[in-house]
Amino acid sequence: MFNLDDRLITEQRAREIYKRLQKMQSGNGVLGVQVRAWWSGSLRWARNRVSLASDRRDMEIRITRHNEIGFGAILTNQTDDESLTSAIRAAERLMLGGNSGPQLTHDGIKWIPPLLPFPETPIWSETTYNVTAKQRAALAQPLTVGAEEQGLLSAGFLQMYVLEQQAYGASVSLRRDLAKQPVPDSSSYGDGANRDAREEGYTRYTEAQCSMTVRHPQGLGSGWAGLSSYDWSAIDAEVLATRALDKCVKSLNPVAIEPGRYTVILEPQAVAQLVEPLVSALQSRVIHEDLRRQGVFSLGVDQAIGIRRTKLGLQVIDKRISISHDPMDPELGVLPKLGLTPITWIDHGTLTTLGYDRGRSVDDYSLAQLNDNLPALSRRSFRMTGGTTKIDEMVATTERGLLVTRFSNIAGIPGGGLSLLHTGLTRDGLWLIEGGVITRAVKNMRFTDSPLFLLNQVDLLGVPVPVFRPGKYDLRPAVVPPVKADDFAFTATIDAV
Amino acid sequence: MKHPLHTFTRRAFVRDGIRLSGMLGAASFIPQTTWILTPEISESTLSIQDPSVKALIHKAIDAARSAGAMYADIRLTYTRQRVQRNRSLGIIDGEYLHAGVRALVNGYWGFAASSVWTAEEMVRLGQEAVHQAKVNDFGKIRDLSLPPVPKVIDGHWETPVKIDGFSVHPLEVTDYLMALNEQMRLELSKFEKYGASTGDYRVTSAVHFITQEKAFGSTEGSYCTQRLHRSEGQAECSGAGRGASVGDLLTLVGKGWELMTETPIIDTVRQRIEEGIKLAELPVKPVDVGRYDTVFDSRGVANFLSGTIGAATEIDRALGYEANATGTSYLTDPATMLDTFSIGIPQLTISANRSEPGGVASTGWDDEGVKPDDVVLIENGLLRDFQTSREGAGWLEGAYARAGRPFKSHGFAFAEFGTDAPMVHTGNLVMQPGSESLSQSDLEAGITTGMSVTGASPQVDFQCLGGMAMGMGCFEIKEGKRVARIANAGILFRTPELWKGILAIGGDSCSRRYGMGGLLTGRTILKGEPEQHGYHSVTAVPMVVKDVTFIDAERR
Repeated sequence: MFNLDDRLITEQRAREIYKRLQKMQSGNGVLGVQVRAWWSGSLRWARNRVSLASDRRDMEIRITRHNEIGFGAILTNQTDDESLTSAIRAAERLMLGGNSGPQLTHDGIKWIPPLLPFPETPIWSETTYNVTAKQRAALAQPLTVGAEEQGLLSAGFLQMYVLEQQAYGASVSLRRDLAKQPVPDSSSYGDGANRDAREEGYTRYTEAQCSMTVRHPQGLGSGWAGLSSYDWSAIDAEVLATRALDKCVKSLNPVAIEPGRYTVILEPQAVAQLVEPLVSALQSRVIHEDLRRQGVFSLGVDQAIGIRRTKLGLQVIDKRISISHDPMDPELGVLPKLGLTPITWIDHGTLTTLGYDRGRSVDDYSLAQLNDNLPALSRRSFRMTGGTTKIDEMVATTERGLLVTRFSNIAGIPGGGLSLLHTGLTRDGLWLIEGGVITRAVKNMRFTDSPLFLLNQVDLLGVPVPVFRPGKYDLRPAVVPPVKADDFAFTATIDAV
Repeated sequence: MKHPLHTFTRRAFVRDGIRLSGMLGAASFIPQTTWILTPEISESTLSIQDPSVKALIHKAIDAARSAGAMYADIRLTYTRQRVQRNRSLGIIDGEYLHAGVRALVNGYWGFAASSVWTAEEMVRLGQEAVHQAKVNDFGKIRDLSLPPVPKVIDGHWETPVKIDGFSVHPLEVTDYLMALNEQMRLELSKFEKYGASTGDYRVTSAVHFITQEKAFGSTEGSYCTQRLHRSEGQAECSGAGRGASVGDLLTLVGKGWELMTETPIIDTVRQRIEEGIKLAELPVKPVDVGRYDTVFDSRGVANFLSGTIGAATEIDRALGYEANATGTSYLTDPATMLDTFSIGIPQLTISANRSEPGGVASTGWDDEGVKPDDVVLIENGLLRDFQTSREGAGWLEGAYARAGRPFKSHGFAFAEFGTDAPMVHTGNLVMQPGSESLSQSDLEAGITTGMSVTGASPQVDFQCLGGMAMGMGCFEIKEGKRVARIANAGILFRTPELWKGILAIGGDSCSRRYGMGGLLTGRTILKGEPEQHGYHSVTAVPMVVKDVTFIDAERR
């Protein structure tokens, strides 16, 4: 089915590593093995010339052993018998030393939500996988021509990336059967009929990314464009090059304007960057229910069950907006067989789901048992619904406002957690809109605002599009609309270009 | 085709390599322990100084040369790291082998890397690196000038550590951390009268060891090996509003286990709990937005230095090579700015090195086989030089010639693993103390109306031109004394004004070193695409800066 070559370790070989480790284990307790391998073919350029082209590959094997008294985990990237034996013995010594692992409490193994069956989504693009070094070089050549002709400097990166991973044994679903039960002897977990039930399916995915920045040689202007997708054929690098160049030219000679509240038109990239902290905050219900602290979606304490009530069922953002994730959505593609179900976090403005981060903290699971409908997740992929307004039309309806390309250096404000207050900078293209037209380039500014405030002040929404969201060990694509919103708070002008 | 990852047997290679080179039982083959030492398990792994490693290096170099490389170099790395926190023996406990070959053809660089250390893989990597370079040569000239490098012949260097972290039994480390936790709990309990009760105490301590063996070889005939050590620690306690952290004394450092045993952790905890109680008695006030003469402690100054001047003087950033990644530099025209551009007040002198004992970035040779220079970056307020690699020095060749300076790399190329291609990373930065012996409290005493910020942590923008900082603590100063704690203070700064607005610099006695980029106590330093991690030390003194802008960080 796939064109296999030595860049992949394949399912068979990953399983073989597990089987060899099974034979190597000694003593009681259970074994867990995660195998992860990646390949990357990438190319960087700067000052209109390719500065480095790379072919890189690596792997990681995580071996865990645990029994009633302890837990041991060892990492290695070597697969020979002696390295693996050495590693599994080390994990066993940690286990026998009574080590309490980060995922276990002292009284034993906690219940973990079951993995739900899920059909495989092929987040695999033969195109991405098969782009050769020569093709990458040929692709990159035309991207710098426009910038060079205009005396500007282009710098960029394109990468084809492949990750394979598979987990076996106790690190996956064994623990779900062990709620407050003694850990069985490893011999009872042989290669029997229930083996598949204990495996997290072999998955592999491709990821392609391309991004570039065109700058004026003296730093008088800068423009950026980028896109990532599992499928290289979904990325038109030349369109990105034209956009980055255009933004650079139009950003030259910016004027400083007074900080303050502005109507903003955020391009999808900027929206995705700002909404990401909100999506993160949705991931862990336990934070919002915790008695000792408060989360963004916390309400008062429910004395009957001894946790905080949350804003589930309440409207939290503009009614036109839903934020969801569907692993079957090809534009959101997430690792298959990870037991993910479709989730609607926010449905037409109403908070409908708060998630549990599987494998993150034992405390999560004690609370998780209260809820039958477990999202069991850690996922940063999301789709945000939009509207039909084009960015041009948003500009035309704006008496005075700012058009934002993207943000940089976004950071949470300590103590601003209850409102998700963040600060950050605009970067690579900021323009003033006056009387329905873009009138001039503006010097970058610092904002201090919250995605929750933004999404409660929405005026117009555009058509959602995929944005630049590269990830190394996890895919986290997002499909996001451009947004026109009122009263976005810029707190300072900055000089950086 | 068999998968190279799968056919590789490192320990088998060790045996074969030994046999082939007739070195069985030779002295250079040093038995080492991996993982935990127990009587029945004492595994031998390869010493980086073994001739068979050199044979591998030569395989790759020869393959690259035969394939048409005008220059090529290779790095083999064997990395071990372990994190222990409280009772947990090995939160992270791993070992990795990596190999990476870099080749130059007509000005274009190619790079190939994997986790396999076999002769066949060395040949493949050598050829692949050349292929990666060649395919990008479409006839457009890419100018590149590599300065000459003295050839290193079989050099070896080791980070001088007293006790290698991996030689200490993990259970002994656990005992130490648990004892530390007990003592911190005890210190907190001494303040029971202030309201803490035993059950509320939270204590945590941790340690992180990294040891890397590295071999480097190039087509120019250099060959060297190194054994590099880094360690960092953490110790914190809190209970009923009292607490102390000594993380700043345990930041990343080029030391071993002695980092934990030689640092007066408990004395510092005790002292800081007491200080904290005194400071807690001060009234809390909201920020009165405005400009204040401000004292920054050495930790804050170190953070500012790393984020502004450290990053800005990386030559590749200044020339736009990182424009699409972390960003550029406000030093936009390095060749012209050299020796003329004013960075700060005339009393400001900052140097970079990779040689100081205990420095995180200290090394015998950089990842291009260059013995690093101690280089003055800022002298009497003027920009004097940049942190360079070989190619980076080439970009300054004309400027160096005009200034009558030697054309050479300062040796700041760094690649964390064999799978990373070397690039310029900040070295150990050192700020020259003021000539007067002023302490932090002397500096505060000199303020009539102003602020004092401890542990300022700046978010620096993509041109190193400014940013916003928040402190661990912020105090209002009146007539030389701390009179109030300020809540939610945000500091807006522009880099030029920060360094040009210095009113006073602390003396030698308050000079402190901090490690940057650590996992436990530092902030990750990322650079490049794909991202690489950077690590360095910064030695800084407190300073007073005039008219620093304070805002309410939480105000929209």
